[in-house]
Amino acid sequence: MEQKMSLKRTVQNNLFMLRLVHQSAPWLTAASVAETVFATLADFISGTLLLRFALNGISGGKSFGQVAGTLLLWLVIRILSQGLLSFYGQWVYPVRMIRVKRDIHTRVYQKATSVELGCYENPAYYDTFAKAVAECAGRAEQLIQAVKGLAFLVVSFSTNFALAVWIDPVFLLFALIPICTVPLQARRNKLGYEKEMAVREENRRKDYARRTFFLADYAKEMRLTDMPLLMTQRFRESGKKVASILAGFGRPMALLGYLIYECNELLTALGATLYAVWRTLGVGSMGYGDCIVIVDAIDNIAYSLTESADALLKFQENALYIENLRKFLDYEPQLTGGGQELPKEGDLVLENVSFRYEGAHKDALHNVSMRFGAKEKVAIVGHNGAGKTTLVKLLLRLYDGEGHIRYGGVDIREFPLLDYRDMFACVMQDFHVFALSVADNVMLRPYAPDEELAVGEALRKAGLAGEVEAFPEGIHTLMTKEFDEKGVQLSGGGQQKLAIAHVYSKKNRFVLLDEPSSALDPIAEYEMYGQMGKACQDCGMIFISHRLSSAVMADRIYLMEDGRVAECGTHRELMEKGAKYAEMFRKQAQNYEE
Amino acid sequence: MKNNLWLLRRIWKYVPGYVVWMATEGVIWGINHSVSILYMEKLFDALGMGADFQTAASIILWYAVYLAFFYMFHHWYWELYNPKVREKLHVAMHGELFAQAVSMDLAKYDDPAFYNDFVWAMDQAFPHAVGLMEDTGKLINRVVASFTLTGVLLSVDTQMAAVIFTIAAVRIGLALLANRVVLSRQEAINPLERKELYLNRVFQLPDYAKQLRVSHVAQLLLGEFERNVRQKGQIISGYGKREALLSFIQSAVAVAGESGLLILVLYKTMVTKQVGLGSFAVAVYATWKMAWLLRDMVDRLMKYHEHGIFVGKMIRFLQCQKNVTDGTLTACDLESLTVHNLRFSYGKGEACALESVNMEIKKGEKIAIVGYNGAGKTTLTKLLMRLYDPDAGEILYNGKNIKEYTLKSLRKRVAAVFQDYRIFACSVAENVAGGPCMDSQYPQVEKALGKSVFGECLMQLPKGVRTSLTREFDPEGTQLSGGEQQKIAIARAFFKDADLIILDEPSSALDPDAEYALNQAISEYADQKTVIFISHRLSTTRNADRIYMFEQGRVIESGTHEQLLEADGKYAHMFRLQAEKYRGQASGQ
Repeated sequence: MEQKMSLKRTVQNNLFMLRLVHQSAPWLTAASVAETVFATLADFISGTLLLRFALNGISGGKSFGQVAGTLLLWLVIRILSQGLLSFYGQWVYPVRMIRVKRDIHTRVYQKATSVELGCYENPAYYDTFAKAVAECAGRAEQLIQAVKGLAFLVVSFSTNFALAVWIDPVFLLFALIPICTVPLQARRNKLGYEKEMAVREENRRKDYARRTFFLADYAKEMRLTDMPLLMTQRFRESGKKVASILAGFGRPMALLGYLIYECNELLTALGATLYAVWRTLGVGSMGYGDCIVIVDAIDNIAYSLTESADALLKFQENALYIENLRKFLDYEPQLTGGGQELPKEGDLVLENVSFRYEGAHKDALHNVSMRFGAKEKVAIVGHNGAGKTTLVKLLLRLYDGEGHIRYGGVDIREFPLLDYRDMFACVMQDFHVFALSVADNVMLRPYAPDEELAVGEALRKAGLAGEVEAFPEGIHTLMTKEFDEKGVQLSGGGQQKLAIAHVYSKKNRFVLLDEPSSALDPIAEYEMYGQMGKACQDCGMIFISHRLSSAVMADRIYLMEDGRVAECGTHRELMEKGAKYAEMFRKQAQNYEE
Repeated sequence: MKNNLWLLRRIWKYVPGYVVWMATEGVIWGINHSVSILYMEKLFDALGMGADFQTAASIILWYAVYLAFFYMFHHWYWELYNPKVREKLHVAMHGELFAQAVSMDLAKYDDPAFYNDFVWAMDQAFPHAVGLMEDTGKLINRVVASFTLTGVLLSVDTQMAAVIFTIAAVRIGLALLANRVVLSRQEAINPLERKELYLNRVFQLPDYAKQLRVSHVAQLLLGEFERNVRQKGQIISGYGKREALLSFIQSAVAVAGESGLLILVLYKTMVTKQVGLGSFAVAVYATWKMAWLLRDMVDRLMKYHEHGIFVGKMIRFLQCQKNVTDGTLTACDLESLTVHNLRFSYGKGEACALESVNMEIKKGEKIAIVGYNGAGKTTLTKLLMRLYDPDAGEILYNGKNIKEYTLKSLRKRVAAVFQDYRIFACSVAENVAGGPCMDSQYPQVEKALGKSVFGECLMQLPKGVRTSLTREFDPEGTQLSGGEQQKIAIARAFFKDADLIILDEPSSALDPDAEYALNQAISEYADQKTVIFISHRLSTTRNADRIYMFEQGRVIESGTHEQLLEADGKYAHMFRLQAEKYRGQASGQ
């Protein structure tokens, strides 16, 4: 919503959404428009044409039977058609709409998993993306409503207009008045938009303050510090700013709105009435029935003109939101795979790899060269911010950096992305449990019932089998209390074990562990490394830790510092070298001397 | 209804002007509906009687003058007054919600049912308050309008008025019936929508992004989504048939009623000649308008039901029982802290998180609490700060139960670094001060940061302690790494100058260098203070004056490091296990 959109883009965006709707429910839009046209026409016939017929009948000397008969006939037709409309509106439409929403969501979700991770870190892109996900399905419905709204106005306007012109073409002149208010309307819209923009930032601040009060994450701090004071203060300040912005925009907008109303309602509607009355009473050239009907018709015309600005505005608003969706769906992931087949086996080799996060001032990784053998256990150690986790992301091709990463001698960009990533099993530092069953969380993929044994085995290896057996429905128990009060909540250590169980659930070429034991107690950590070592006999293992005790067993250790490899070798070699690693190790070890 | 009245009274308390003007606006609009019908009646009568043009024209002109004033009011209210007063209501209302939110028991956060209501109340309080106000305004408008319209109709023909009311009664009845169907459908769909929202979140939040990419869980989630939508479709389709039928009956009644009336008026005009031509037209318009008013009135009343449900949640939240209540004494300097036979569980039916825990802590002691995950270490500290109250047993502060002290004075004595500390989107200084921070306090802030080994980082920050943390509001804000954030959280404890410092795994995100420096700093700074360390890295706790080893909510061993090693129990076992990998390797042998 950063800037106004061109007319062309507005139209394109709305058409884009209509196409999406059409793909999942052909004719839904057309049927909805037809429904509206039909309903509006029926209203026009009952409300205007038949009234005119009755009034003219009364003054024209038709018999009661004739007039009443026509009315009754129309009554029957209308009731029958109502059946059709109800059937469509209450049954067909909602069911179809679900399909539309499903398809749009599925598309968005699939896209969401295919764009590169960098998109999440780019605030502008993430904003677009978050809005697209949150809004997309609702917009489809809103767009159809907008189309229906417009169809109603068009039909209502043209029928009433046709009638008015048919009765007397002079009425055409009155219809021109509202057109004169278009510039006023445009000015008002612009002010409204500016107001929105001005208020938005302050509202965001208010919202943040509000969140700190109700999110569980902040609850403890909010009770033990004076933060509530500060946050309330911030909330009030922003509230005051919003009020003053609103006051500033309120006056001109009220004035403009008033002028527009006066033009449409007074000049057009009452002017036309005055003219009609003059023709009937003053000149006597208009029938009584026509005069009454025309007053109503002019009212309707004025109404549709006043509302048309709003109705069109809805398209513009929709276009702004659809723009997000469109940008998002049209986005071509920069990170794509090639067609090369994965070799049977190989080493992972980094050659002069550098990487810099967008907007960062220095490289997160600089000229890094490393080797991870097919069956080697390699430890990566180093201080916070040394680039360890970034390295993992590059290995997984969540990002592409400069230089080369080769697997079996071939640049990893040559392989199909999904095949390549399938070689790895990883435990991330910031692992999240999904609100799915225990087994789903272990497998992290659809699986056949006969694979359940494997789930049990993986849990056993991860040291979680005992706990899971105690769950009400074993491995089918739902995790987290998101949907089910009976869902289970694991402790931090339990969650980490669950993540580790995933590693055991599949055949891997490389196991990637990013601080896998930070939430585990020493015994569990010890058991985990023992078990993992056994499981990784036939595959490579890459693990990140800043507890150096776990690095001792590694075939090779890389010490990273400032995005570079500072030292490399086995524990023994590095200790003999007596440089940074040795110093770090001693520091940690000295507290363990009895 | 009672709930809605309660909310209206609240709004009256916050911004009485809003209520007054809302009602006034309703009345004025209600009268306006009748004025337009009256105008029509006058005009059509003039037409029907063949009055001269001047008379008719003056009617139109007077109406124009009236409209000019009416719209002036309308625009003043909606464009100028209403937005401003809403903002005022927003701020005032949240003041109360905020106060309640922070004083609420922390235990409430663990109760998913309550927590859902609570989040809902915080999120929806304002939209529903405004919705209620607007619906009430419109309702007043409709009631006033239908009364004045009834007057107009009665003046034309009593029989007709009676028919209109009969039809109206039938229609309201039908609408209520339809509403029941809608509500029960909504209830059937709610859990499915909740699931959909969760899935939406998973695909949207960066937290899950990596896992979605490196595993096939996306397929699993999409399958779940597909199933969910299918279920929703079945429910909607099932209800759809019923709703379509009901809607058909409703519109058939409406159409038949309107047309029937038209024929009746026609009969009275053409056959019995009781009704004149002008009145005929007015009767027809009034009937239409009345039908519309009734329909709208029913819609609004339905919304009251919705508001009522919501306000119920809000009341429940605002009036929720607090178990952790204030005492009367003011806590003075800490001399001793005694934990006596403590028992606690996180909810009925849940396993005991703590059982028969006894501890004795004296001023200035450094106490370590060690144990496996889930042994109850963190729970104990929450009880010490009275974030929860124990089920049995007591905690004595200077010999008196901590419940006897005011929460404020007690919590002032305690500073804690939680495992899951949070950084706020405000300046470094405010984050360290844990609240508003004046310029004169900056040296203190800097001192605290120095103690938490953040000093070097601080020098690199463009605006020093004024630098905003996170980019939430300030594009020049600083994004700190996990370890740096933890240092800020630790500085918070140093700044507070409390008697008792609780450090819950303070070094988990720190690298060994920083951990070492931090340990030095804490022991140096905390000379006079009482400190409770919680850790499962035994290297950090070996220097403690006393170590408590926890297992499954109980204290299984306690004593100094040397005593515990000598006792050769679980602590000794755990320590050796950790030390094993360091020992003998340090020399490179």
